[in-house]
Amino acid sequence: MKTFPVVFSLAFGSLKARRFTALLTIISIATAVMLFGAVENIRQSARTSFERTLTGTDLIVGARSSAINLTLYTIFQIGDPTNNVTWETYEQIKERPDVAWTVPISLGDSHRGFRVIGTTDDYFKHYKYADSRDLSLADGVVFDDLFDIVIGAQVARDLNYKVGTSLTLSHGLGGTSFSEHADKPFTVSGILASTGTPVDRSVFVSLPAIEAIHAGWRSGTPTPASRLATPDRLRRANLEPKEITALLLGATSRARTLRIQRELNTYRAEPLQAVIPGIALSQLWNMMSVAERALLIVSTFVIGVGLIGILTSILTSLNERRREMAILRSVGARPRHIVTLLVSEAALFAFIGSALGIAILYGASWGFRPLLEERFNIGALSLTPGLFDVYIVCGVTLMAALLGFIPAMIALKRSLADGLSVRV
Amino acid sequence: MTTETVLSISNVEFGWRETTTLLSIDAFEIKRGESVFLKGPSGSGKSTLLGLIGGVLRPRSGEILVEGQSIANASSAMRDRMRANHLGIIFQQFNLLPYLSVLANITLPCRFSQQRNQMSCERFRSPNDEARHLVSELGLPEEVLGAPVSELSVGQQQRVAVARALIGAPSLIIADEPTSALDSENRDRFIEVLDAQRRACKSSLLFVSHDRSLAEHFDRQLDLTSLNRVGLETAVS
Repeated sequence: MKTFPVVFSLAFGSLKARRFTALLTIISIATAVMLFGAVENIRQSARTSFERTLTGTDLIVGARSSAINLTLYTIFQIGDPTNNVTWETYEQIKERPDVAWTVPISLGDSHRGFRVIGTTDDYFKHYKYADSRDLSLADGVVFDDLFDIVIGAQVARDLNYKVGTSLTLSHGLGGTSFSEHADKPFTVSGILASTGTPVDRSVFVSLPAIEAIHAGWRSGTPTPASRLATPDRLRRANLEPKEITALLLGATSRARTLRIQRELNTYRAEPLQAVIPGIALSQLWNMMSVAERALLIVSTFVIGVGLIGILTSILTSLNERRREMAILRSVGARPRHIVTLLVSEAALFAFIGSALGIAILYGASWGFRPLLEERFNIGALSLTPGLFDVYIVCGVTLMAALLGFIPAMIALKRSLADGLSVRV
Repeated sequence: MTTETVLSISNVEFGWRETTTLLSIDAFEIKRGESVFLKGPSGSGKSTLLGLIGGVLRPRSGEILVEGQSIANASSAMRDRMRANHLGIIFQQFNLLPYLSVLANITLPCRFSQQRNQMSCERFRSPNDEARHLVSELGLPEEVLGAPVSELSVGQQQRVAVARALIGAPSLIIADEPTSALDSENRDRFIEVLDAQRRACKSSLLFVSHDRSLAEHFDRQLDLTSLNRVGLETAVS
């Protein structure tokens, strides 16, 4: 029917004439859609970046506890290790023909609340995150001297450390410690570039350095013998560790991973546990997804409130528009024109509002891009509208159009009752 | 298909409920080109009569013919189309859609009726041209065409309403108390231009008012209270 363009131009004109209230309604729906889009975007990207905290590693191996606990303390620096892995076992795993590489990890010390990871140069070679991205140094070099230390980006930022800064470590994982390794000062040799992973909050020293600071210690406290272990003597000593906390492992091929995992889980010499990081990370995420879902539900309700705002705005305008309907009927508008007029007004509100919301969302994402890049794993956060956003706009518009039938039916009923008499 | 009678009502009865009758008219006709003054005080069933002629209400019984075609027994889609094609309606006040320009208000019927659009194009090339012509004939400055409705005086608004009713030359103009918001001087001028222009369009006119002093302007005058038998019987004043 040729008259439908007329109705759309009427709807548009009517919105324009009520531009102040229309604007408020549009802003409310835009805000709702923006919030929903932002929550959904952050949710998706948080999930992807979380699940890609550690890539390229086939297995995490440690003492037997739970898969999640092992992942938490080796990767996220949360929780305490239950037990250690002996150096002999580590050597044996390393020698297996189906193991391509191993990276030892030794925990137990901290620096001003940031955990210390004792490891080897290989850590920086094999730790990968996101799409197989490598760790890179923003400044300096990896350990050169026994008392060299490499710090993550957030450590450097929070404590304002530069290459060359001297610092000491504390015994224990917590923020407060009663035993300090004050006699063995370290020097920052390198600062890692920001990754958006827990690596940013870590402090790295070499495995021999972990042995060095504990030389002469027994069951967590220094003995008089520790005073004999001066840094210079230690540099010349053979500092092979007896134990490590965990290890990261790469198989020669993906297919061998499951066999290695099975064999390590049934290792006879000591109780071990091997965990596939991807699976453990998804399990971890699912544990946290209650909050994520709650957030999504809240933002869905916000959209609902926005839609009710549209409904209210049209319903309150109906009384003053009774006359308008009679005029339209008098010039030949049919009941379905009246219905289309009000339904398309609601849809127009929602379409303009939600498109505006999406535009503001991505505009802001672009504007704050430098900040986002620094704080988050940016590879995962989408900065351009995608198909999902098209669905949001279409969905909200459709919902509003459906709701628009309520005022449309009321107006229709009234206009049939009023007939051609204009109520002043 | 041109009949001499534009509107013909016979034996029409109407009531909102089965038991009550609000309007009962034996016979009422308007001839082509004729102007009729219908005196109808409020409560006399005036709105109901206009609703019946306009096809938004249906009589309980009887026949209403507009241009020889039954509007009383037509489908609702047909009644809407007949109203759009054959009738031009002028209300007491607030005739215009506030969010449309004056020009868009005048040409509105041509957008709902193919026939009036075609008629307008035949006589004046386009509805916009006819609107311009009518505006100048009705004594309005051409600038009003682009102006928002809110800037017009009540008198100007009523003339714009006349232009809208006349565009596309419908057969019957129904004016429902169109002068009640005007002062006496404007009132006579308004009726003069309305009558002149509806003659030019060869449209008949049904002018409803409670003010008998206006009756002299029209070919024929009638009283709704005497036309409506219900009014006679229960004479409520």
